[in-house]
Amino acid sequence: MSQPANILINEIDATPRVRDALPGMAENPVLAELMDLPVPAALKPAVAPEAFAHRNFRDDEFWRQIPGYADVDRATFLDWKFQNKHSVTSLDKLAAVLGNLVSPAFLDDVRAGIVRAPMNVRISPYVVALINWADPYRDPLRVQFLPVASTQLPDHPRLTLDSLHEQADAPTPGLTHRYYDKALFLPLDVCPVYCRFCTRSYAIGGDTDTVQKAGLKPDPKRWHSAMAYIASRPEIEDIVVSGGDLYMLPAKHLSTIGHLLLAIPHIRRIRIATKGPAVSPMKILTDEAWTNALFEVANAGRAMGKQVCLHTHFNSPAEITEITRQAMEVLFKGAVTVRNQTVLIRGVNDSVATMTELVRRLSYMNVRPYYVYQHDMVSAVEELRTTVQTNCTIERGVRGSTAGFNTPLNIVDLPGGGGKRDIHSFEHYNRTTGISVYRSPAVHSDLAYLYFDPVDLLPPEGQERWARPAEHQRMIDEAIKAAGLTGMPLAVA
Amino acid sequence: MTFVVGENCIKCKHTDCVEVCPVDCFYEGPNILVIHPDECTDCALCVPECPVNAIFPDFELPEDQKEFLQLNAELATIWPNINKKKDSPSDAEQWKDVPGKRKLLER
Repeated sequence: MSQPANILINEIDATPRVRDALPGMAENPVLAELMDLPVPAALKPAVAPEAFAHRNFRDDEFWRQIPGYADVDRATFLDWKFQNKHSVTSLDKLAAVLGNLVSPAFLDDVRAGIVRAPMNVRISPYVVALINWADPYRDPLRVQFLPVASTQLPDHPRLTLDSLHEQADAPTPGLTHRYYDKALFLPLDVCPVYCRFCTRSYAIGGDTDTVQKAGLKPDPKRWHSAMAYIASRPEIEDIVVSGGDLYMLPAKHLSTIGHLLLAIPHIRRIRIATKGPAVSPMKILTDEAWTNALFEVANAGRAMGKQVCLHTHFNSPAEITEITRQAMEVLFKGAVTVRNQTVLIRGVNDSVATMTELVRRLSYMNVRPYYVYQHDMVSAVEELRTTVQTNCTIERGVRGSTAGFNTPLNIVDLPGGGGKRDIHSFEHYNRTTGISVYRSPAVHSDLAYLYFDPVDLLPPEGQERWARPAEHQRMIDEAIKAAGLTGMPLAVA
Repeated sequence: MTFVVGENCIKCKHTDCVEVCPVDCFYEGPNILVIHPDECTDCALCVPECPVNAIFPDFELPEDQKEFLQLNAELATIWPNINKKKDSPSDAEQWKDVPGKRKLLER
């Protein structure tokens, strides 16, 4: 063989081929004809492996590091009933499960935190096991589900318990009709876990030291009353079933409620909102009766030309494991559309990097990132709220990092029942007083709505003005005037 | 709080309730079921299932059945768990709403 030919072969060998880009796929018959093709020269630098962190779903037996679950095998841990039955509902149970993983001082802090909390404690073993107990104060799951007294801040002076006015818009208990064509149906008031920041702390979970709940028990008579109202309103096409959480209803009730709603002619879209996949994803895998009931209702809807979707509530990439990925795959293969609604929480997901990773992770599992909510004005969780500015910054940073249909809408659900508005759509926003002014013409054309940033995140001048009650109304009047809405009544006076 | 199985379950024991409990917190004695108060999530799903209306939230337990709060708590730690419905006793119907069943509770 001549010298020049050898050089030519070496040059060919050095050119990247498709087979180099896709190791392990050489035997794939569909790709076979591509394998020897040269890869066109790249215009962008190669991506570092860290950029693919969102595709790494932990698959270890992570629960074994918790003393209380050290002897729990995989099959038991994946049993949805185990998750329900062994949920941590008190400080004593938490201490027993964690053993020496946490200090007595931390448990004292939790004890004091529970006294002030508007929500019961209820944490699934799945979540308990994912918390980094070596640094619980900064763990994004601990922050969401377990209160500690030492980080608590005073409520904002303008806060009310049912900030979204769901009760005021309810013609019958557990049925809220605010938007023209949509209603919210709450069949029960228990959840697989209790989020500290629950926007329905007026009703959800049991009474606490600080809040007596409105109570929405799973009573078929109450359900029928809600159905009767829905049946009487032909403009309603959309139903959100939330709670409480249908994850806690047996399959037969899921089926009954689903079919009743589908049978009402003007109902076109049903959304089942559930925290379940974020905190107990194994139910989708091991509660076959429930998952099959969901498929059966979704399929019946599809046959009628109606949508039945699931809306989940993932807030942190740390909640998502291989168990989650498998559960979401089951739903995807069962043709159930899954969308996610995230709440923007200080210390959980209030950075562009974390939110981008969450969005990419959800997208990878075929869960569509739908909303990022500004944290509602909820009592006793002021340290979890953040500013409208933070939300705007995150929106700017995340948008453009992936496809538009997988990019969430960043919104604020306006206190006083104005509904969800684009976070950037304020008429006026004073970053010193933290007051933003919004309007919601399609809901109430003649009202102005206000959102208040948490006081501790304001510049000193703003904090100082909120420290003086006489200034409160003045700051609000200034904001209304600056918005050009002088004289317009406020939704929350 | 917790939900409590009261007197009317005695000798009826239909077991419809155990099928809907999301945490399997029912325990079975010879002629009555009880609820484990530490496991009950207060979801109330069992209440409408009971054909003889024997289940109450603790704060609505009838005055003359207050002792069932303690009985449920005590017996749930002794008796075996039940999470699958079984056939009702053949004479369940005739014991429905019969007053004074408390003394017939078997341990």
